[in-house]
Amino acid sequence: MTTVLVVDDAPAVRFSVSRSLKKAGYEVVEAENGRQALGVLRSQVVDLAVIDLWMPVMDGIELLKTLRVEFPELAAIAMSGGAPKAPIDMSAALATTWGAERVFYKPFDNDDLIIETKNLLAEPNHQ
Amino acid sequence: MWTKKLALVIGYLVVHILLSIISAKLEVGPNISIWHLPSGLLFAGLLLAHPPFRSTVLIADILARSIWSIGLWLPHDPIGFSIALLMSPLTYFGVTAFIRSRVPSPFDLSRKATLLILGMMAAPAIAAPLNVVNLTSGGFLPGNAMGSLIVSFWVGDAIGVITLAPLFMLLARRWIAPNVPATQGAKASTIEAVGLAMAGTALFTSAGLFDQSSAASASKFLTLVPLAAAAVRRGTTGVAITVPLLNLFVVMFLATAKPAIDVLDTQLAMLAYSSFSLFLGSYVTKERQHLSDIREYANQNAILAAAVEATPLGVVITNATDPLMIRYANSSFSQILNGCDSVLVGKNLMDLFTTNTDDTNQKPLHDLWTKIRKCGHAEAELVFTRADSESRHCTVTFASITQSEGGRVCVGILADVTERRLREQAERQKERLVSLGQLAGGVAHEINNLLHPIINLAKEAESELGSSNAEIRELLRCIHQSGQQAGEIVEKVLSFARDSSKVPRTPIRFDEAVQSAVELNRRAIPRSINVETVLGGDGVLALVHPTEVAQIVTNLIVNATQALDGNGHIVITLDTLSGGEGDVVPPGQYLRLRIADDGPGMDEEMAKRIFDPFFTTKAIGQGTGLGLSVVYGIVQDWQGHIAVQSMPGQGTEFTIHIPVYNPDVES
Repeated sequence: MTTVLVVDDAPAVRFSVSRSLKKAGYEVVEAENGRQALGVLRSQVVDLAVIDLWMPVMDGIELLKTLRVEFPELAAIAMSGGAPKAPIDMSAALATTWGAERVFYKPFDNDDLIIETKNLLAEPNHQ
Repeated sequence: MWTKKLALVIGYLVVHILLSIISAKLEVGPNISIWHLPSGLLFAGLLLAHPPFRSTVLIADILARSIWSIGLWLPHDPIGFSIALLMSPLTYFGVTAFIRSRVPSPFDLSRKATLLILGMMAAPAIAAPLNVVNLTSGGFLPGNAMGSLIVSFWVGDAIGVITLAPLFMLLARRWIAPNVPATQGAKASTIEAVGLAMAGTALFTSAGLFDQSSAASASKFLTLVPLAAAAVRRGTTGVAITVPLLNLFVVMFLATAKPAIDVLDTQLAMLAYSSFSLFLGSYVTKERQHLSDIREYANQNAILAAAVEATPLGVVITNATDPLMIRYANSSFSQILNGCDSVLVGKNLMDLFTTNTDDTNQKPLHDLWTKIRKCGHAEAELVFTRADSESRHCTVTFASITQSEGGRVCVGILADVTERRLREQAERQKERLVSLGQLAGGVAHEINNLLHPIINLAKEAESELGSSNAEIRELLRCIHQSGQQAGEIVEKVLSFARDSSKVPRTPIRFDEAVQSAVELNRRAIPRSINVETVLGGDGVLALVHPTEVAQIVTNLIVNATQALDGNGHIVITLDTLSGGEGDVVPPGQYLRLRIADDGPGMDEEMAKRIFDPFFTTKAIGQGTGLGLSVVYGIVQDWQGHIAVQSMPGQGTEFTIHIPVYNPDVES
């Protein structure tokens, strides 16, 4: 069973994205921020992480940096709502620099996220 | 202190005795020495000495006199002798004390010579008879010789004072009274003085030798000439040196040649001539000082006047009463007011201000005049409309000044602060937009997080309902669409806050970009609106992105279309121009894009806020009000300039300056 981790501080976003993923047949675990996400990743096997960039406690970029070191095999997709101060482009560039395969700008269509997830998990090195 | 006093006494004694010896040697008449030179020393000493030393001088003089005459008279009449001895010095003491109390600086011969000469004349006149009365018992000729004795003593004393006091004052001031200012040209004066004195003597002697019978009269008058010449040429200094010299030479002549002339007559004549030339000399010196003061004053004034004329601030001087007639206005004043150099002297400032300013200044002007009338000073900020219809913001400051002669004038300073106000306005606008951008970014982020579930869950719900429940599906579709529209708006807001310098730009032909943008919009414009394009600037390049051009053109055309409400003209022009000093853009080459409509236009209030984000004149739901702020942001990013010109009922024109691409300058 392929497990996807959804990390976002907005509960409604988590609910919506998780629901779509579950409908697509994935096992879903959730986390509110980067620190919680690391806790989850260290306690169970996760195949892909969907990470919001702007979160309290530990944001998406910090999490991505840690993942590169601790979980280099883990695929990551970034979500962005537009950071309050940094321009969108900059956070997107940062996210991809630190290992996110792609950045989705909210409000995006969840179906697009599912397609990207399927593509990433079909790749050889993520199986 | 005591050593100084002792030194003074010894010095005085020495000089006094020397002078007495000289006087004795110069005896030329039947009476005792008639040129009493030591009197000059006493007079000068009493006038010059600092208060602590004055009594020392007095004591020294009495000592000197007693040394000289003690052997002569004491045995005959001790009391009379004592009185005679003390009378002269004490009288001089009293007279000089009087002079010092009336005249702040008695050493300043050039100022109070009259009083000084009077004192010189009066003192011996008081002292001499008292001397003589007591001495008659000592064996002098009684009877009608008395009169001539009195006169000769008085005249002798006076001659001594007038001859030598000024000289001693010049010579001795440095060690007795260092506060006295130095006289100039003493060396040259001395040489001249000697020459003049010799000339005078020559005149005197020639008169005496060739015309002995009337030698007392007209011919002696010629000796006045060299004295007067010394006075006019060298002032006080020349006289102080010439007078004693001439007197000395005359006496020597009388002593050696012994001509048959009345010595007393000669004495009186010399006395008169010396006093007169002393007075003339001091007058000349005073006048020269005045002239020099005036010249210096005039020089200073000239410098100040040049500074006032050159300052970029407007300076105006008016009467202090209504209607403030202008006495002086520098060229900057008329430049600021009228844009040209015009003669404003004689015009009324109140009228001038009223005609040059527009109605918005009524209240500030009224307050200004009221305040000036009440307390003489006031400040205001006014807007002046020049003849070339340019408006200048100016600060005006008024203060009233009381002149030295007692009149009052008003001085006004006019400063042109137009550029400063414009810059402040632009700064404020920029700050507002920056903070709005930041706010927008933060808000957008939160809303995006909320829109995501709205859009996606509505969509899911719609699909899960299947073909049944068409009505509920309709509701869900509406929710979905609304969410998407909200997302688009937020996107626009974020694009406003985004750092768009990352947008890739290459030099493109601006006219082509405008052309295609206009064509893109033509289909959307109703046929009843006439669109005219005059696109110059062929082939001119600008560092812009074609979509940015499209965004701007679209926004402005849409605005114009909505303003025209179905009927009217839109004119789009493109040309090039050079920016110069004082224009809205810095110097350089520019493309100028203008989009104008002949719609209802807008008033100044609206025009000021037209580029503000979220400012819209449309009804709620009809528009976001973001279009023009996006346009503004793009133009700013291009380092260009956008302005709107509009009057109610006269349409609206947007003017955009775009810097022409310069391949030599990489921005």
